[in-house]
This record gives sequence, C-alpha cells and structure tokens, in this order.
Amino acid sequence: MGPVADPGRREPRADERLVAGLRAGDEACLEEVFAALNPGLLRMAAQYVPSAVADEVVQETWIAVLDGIDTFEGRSSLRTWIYRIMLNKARNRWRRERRTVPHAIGGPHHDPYRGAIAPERLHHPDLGAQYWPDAPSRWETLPEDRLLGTETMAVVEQALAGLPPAQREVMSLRDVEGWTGPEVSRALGISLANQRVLLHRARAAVRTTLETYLAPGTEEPR
Amino acid sequence: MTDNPLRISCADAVELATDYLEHALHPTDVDDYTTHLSQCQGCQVFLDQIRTTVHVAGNLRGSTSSAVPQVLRDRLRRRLA
Repeated sequence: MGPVADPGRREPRADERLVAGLRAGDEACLEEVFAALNPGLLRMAAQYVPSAVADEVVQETWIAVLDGIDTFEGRSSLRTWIYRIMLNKARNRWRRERRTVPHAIGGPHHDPYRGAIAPERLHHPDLGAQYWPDAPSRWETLPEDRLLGTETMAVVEQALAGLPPAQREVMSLRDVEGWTGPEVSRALGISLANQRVLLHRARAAVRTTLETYLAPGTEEPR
Repeated sequence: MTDNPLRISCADAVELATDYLEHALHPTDVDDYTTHLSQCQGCQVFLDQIRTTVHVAGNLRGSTSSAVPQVLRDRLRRRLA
C-alpha cells in the first residue's frame, strides 16, 4: 500500500509523484493508486447503486481519472479528487435509477433524527425527562467475536446503508475509510461543522442499531 | 438548572459526544460535559459505545484489492500515443 492509502493523511509529495507517474503513463503508479483506492471506491459506490452498477461507476471513474489527470490542479489531495469524480457519477446513477426502481437503495430522503437517544428512552423516575433511567449495557464485556464477527459487521453495513445519503457519505469516509474531518469536508463540499453534525447523527443511528442487535438475551447469555 | 450537579441533561450530553471526540467543543462545554460524565454512568457508557461504533465501522474496511483491469491499462497506454 502506498502513501495514498494512509488514512486521513495528505501527502503532497506522494501525490505529486503519483500524478506525475499517471501523466507519464507509468503502470506501477496506476497499480499503486488503484490498489489503495479501488476497494473504498467500490464500497461507497455500492451504497448508491446495485453492485454490478457500482463496478461500472468505479470503472468509469478510473477512466475519467486517466483521461483527466492533466486537469488535476492539486488543490485537493489526489484521492479527494478521485472520490469526488466517483460520487458525482454514483449520485447521478442513483437519481436515474430511483425514478425507475420504486425502492432503490440509497437511503431515505428525510432525516428522521429525533436525537442521539430517542426522547422516550430518557426518563428518569426522579430527575424526569431527558435523563437516563438506567445506563445502557456495556459492550466491553461482549466477546470479541460477537462484536466484530461477520454477523455484526453485516448489521453495521446495513445500518450504514440505511442512513440518509449525506450522513452515510460522511460516516463512510470518516469511520470506515479513516479520513480526517477536513479532508471529508473538502471531498463532500460541506463545512467542517456540518460534517460533524452529519457524523454525529450517523454514529448515533448506527450505535442504536448495534445496541438493539447486541442487547442481552438476543444471543448468548451473559 | 444552575444548581444541577449534572450541569446539563443527558439528552444534551449525548449530543456533545462527537464534538467532544473531535476536540471541537468550546472549553465551557467541555467542562459541562466532563462534569456530567463524571456523575452519569449512562452518558459514560454512551460515549464508550460511540467509540466502539467507530471502531467496528473501521473493520468494514477490508483490503480486497483486485488487479487493474486491462481496459484501464490500455487507457493509460493511450496517453502515451
């Protein structure tokens, strides 16, 4: 994995080298950038469109990258630029497919956010509304394979896929791909503050799904 | 609410978790939040669970890198033509 894969890091020198290599038609540079970014691009595109279409979207993205590398000005990192190309294509395909498929993937259009914790959950017998009646169960005591097992990962993936698109994009880039806040805000063209709001709502929703899934008594007794 | 030893409600505290982890809270809010946490097990567990959620999400990043498709190699070579 080349420097371009480093989570959250902007490596201007590495970018310069890779951009120069791509412009010069260097296959090793293409392999390096492709290996670093293609899995993440596919993951994210597949949140908009069925995976066969996601393959197409990502392939078209790489073609656009190779055809347009001369126009890359280095004002953002190389991967930010590549992700923006992919997101444009994926969003367009999603809009097109949405019109023909009644319940296409891509998430709800309205954010049903009612707080990180549902208001009815927060009601203490003495302190009243807005206070925990009792603490949620700790997850530290869960066995590692329960928390990070394939079934739990599928639950998280599904929770992520069900988020409103803006939240899903932020959480995918921040928490799955490991990008920094500033880089995500540049890639998505949103303010850093807005990025944090979306990230919080996304994490809160995924936490709630995990909490339901991991609730004591749903699988192994503890 | 000034005499509330918890400083802020749990409903408000849970909304500060991400900004706290991002070091984006105003110092006064950090003070309110950490004071609240020190006395509220529910909000402590919530913050831990948010941290764990981030960790679990990071595990979705598998490195299933595949070979560069021929069509892209051709495209790259075409740049040289």
